[in-house]
Amino acid sequence: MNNSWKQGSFLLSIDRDSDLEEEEEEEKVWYAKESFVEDPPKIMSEKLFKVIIIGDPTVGKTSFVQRYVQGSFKRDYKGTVGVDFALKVFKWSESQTIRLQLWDIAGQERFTWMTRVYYKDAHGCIIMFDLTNRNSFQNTIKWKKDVDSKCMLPDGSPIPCMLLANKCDLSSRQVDQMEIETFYKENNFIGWTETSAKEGLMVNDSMRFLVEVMLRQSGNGTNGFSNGNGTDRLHLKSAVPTSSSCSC
Amino acid sequence: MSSDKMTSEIDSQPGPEVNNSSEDINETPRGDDGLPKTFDVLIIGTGVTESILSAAVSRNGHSVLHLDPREYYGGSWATFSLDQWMSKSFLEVPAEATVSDLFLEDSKGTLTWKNNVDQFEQVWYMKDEETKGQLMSQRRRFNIDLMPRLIAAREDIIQVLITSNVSRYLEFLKISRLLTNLPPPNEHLIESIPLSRADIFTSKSLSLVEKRSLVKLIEAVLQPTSSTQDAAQEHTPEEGEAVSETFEDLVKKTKVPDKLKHMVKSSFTTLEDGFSPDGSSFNVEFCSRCRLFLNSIGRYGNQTPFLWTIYGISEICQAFCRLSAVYGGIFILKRHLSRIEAQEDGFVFQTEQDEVKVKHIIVGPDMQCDIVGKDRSKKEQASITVGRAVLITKGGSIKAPDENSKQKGDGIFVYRLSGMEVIEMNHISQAVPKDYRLLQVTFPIPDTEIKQPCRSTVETLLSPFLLFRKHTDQCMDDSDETISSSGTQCCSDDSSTTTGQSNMKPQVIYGSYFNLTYSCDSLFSELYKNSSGDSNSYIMSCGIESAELSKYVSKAKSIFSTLYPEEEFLPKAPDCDEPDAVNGDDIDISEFSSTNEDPAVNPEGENNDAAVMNPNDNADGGAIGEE
Repeated sequence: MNNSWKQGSFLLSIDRDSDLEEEEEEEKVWYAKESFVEDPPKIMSEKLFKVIIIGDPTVGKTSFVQRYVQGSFKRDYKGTVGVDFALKVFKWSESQTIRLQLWDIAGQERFTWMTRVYYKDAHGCIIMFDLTNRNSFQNTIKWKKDVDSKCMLPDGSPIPCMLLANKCDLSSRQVDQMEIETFYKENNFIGWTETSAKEGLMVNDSMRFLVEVMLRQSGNGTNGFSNGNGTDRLHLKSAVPTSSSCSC
Repeated sequence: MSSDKMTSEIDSQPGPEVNNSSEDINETPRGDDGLPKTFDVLIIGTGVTESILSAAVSRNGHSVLHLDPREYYGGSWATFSLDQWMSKSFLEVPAEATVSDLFLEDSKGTLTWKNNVDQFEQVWYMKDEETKGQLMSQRRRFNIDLMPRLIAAREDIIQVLITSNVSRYLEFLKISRLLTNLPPPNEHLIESIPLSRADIFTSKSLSLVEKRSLVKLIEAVLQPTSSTQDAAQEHTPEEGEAVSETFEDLVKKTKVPDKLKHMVKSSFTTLEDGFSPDGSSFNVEFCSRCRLFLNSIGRYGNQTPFLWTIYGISEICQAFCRLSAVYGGIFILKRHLSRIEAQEDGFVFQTEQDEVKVKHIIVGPDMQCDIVGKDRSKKEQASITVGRAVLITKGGSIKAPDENSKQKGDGIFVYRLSGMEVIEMNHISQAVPKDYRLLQVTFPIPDTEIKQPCRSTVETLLSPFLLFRKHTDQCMDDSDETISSSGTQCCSDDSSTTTGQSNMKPQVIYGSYFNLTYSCDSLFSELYKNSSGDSNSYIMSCGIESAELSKYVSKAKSIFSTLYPEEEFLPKAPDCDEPDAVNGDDIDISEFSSTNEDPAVNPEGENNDAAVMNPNDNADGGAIGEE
């Protein structure tokens, strides 16, 4: 599924304008389905994933989060103050609920590399660039290096990183598809696709792909959130002096 | 797959709109790179005081532009991976940042960038490529503090982290053991410092008489506050008298034997006393530090008073910076100023192409401000220089825990060895990969030796405990045991006196040595006051020299109250729609705080009850209380 998605639908589905409309149609259906989910069945298991979204200023990170979480696009949307992340909870399968924390760059922290605090314990990463801004594409490699230098999964491997080429609805593109294809392979991204936060294109699909990868990884026992090396960390109980009984 | 059935949970806190953020799409930049033209406060440097101030100012809705000429956060509070460390990026003074000209109403001046690391030297003690390669392959698992800091559990910074909710970004570890070597002639012997009543009574290294006098001494130290928890009430006359007693007085009064006195002093000393148990500065301030120390024991169920920041001390700065950014603060690293000019009601400064107007400017301790024509005689640039060593070792701990010790056998140990503080970390600290240990050594340097490399001092003083040189090629064996046992043989001259000890010395693989200077003005913060406008605007300095975190916090508070006298300092930041707290084993300090007003929901109440060992309620917490 991984492969076919990456190379099949991922690349081809939004090749030309004609496909765009079709895609848009599909998106509408998605949201319709979303709106009438009522009393969800009993939650069997719930997984929490932290996903960080980085990339140059104005490539559309906040709009992407907004589109994914709220299903809307506002031209004048501005980051909310005092909030670290947007949260999306959804049912993945009969027995699996996903809580997805989407850490936006906080709008303002955009003239610099990120603090480690932002990257810490992330399970997945989206690096976004603007198809109409070549510079933002070239900078994705810097962002990738920044992520890889500041966080990793407990087993030491880099966190899964997806490359998103946003603003595919605009005509003035400056980055060639073949170039991106070569680039993502060379730089160990898990996949890439073109998206449009404005039109809602490939927003849900790309996120679904990332969640799949993260689920696989957490299933492999490299679940970053439950302390991969938990046994080595201090347990509060055992750390309490056992002698408290003689406190008389 | 049914994943298309989605419910969307929207962040429930819309919050006010950011007034200085531009649209994410089709953005209309204001400056050349989208930088707004005005800010309330400009902050230069990302050390802890600057970061706390950034969060405090931004949190209350004032716009903050936060620059750092370096390309990493933290200044002298920075933390590095091994490759960053070896590339010595912290030695580079950002070239253009060295001078910016100040044009003030009545005078001129300069802001000069200072480098505080000197005499840096690094050595591979094990030179074979295999050892190096193994180490370097895990370079990113290192988090090496330029200046490591232990945080006492009752220090102000902990309180600020809790009340501001910045603690949500941080994780801490309890430091599990505190050890010291004995006074000469037994300086090669290391013993645990007993830190609880139970420790004292089960300790085999103390005689019954010693145990009694130790308890007496601790009670004497705690006396002034034992009757009341309120520090403000300490000023009643009779208690004031007790407070003014020096440590030596108390020692005399309680007839504590020399060995004990040494241990007690070893545990309480900080850099300001020179870590030396034989120093003379055991004054009133020392007594109050003892109290902080004793009261900190057990606050989070820790056996020592100290906490350690996972991933290094830089996390604390970055956590405050994150809060500032979340509230709209703009951060630019590797940015400097070229010119600052006082104007009506503020300052205008030039940074690259941008000209920006601000009301106040706060500069970090790495900036030296010289203003011509102003009386700056009181400004003497007080400074302290410390020697530092960063050692990577293999082959276990300097002092393996006693077999019958109830304490957990592994973790972060703090040693006070011959006037040096050695923080020994294993991989739990997230500062070093498995199988290795990171030793952070700090010690005072006399003024005459500030310009001397400190490597030989460290090697000499620590050679009874560590193997710096490989003597025979049998040491090349990878097995820890072989290294250690042959090490004992190799250095029989050192260890012959350690009869009866089966201790195997760890092998040092890599070491780096340097001198670190904090030079700053702790006496006053105000560098310049511009009163040309309706209200005063300031250039403030965060400079402070201290080994104690509390002083950095109070510095931040005092600067904040100068700039915004009416406002609350770092009110609690509301949580995002926080999912259930991850039930890890790290300490989330907000959850266990006994003083936290927020009724934190605890998934494991029982656990936490045990963890909140308020020493004031529990006589076991550090041998405090009545007999």
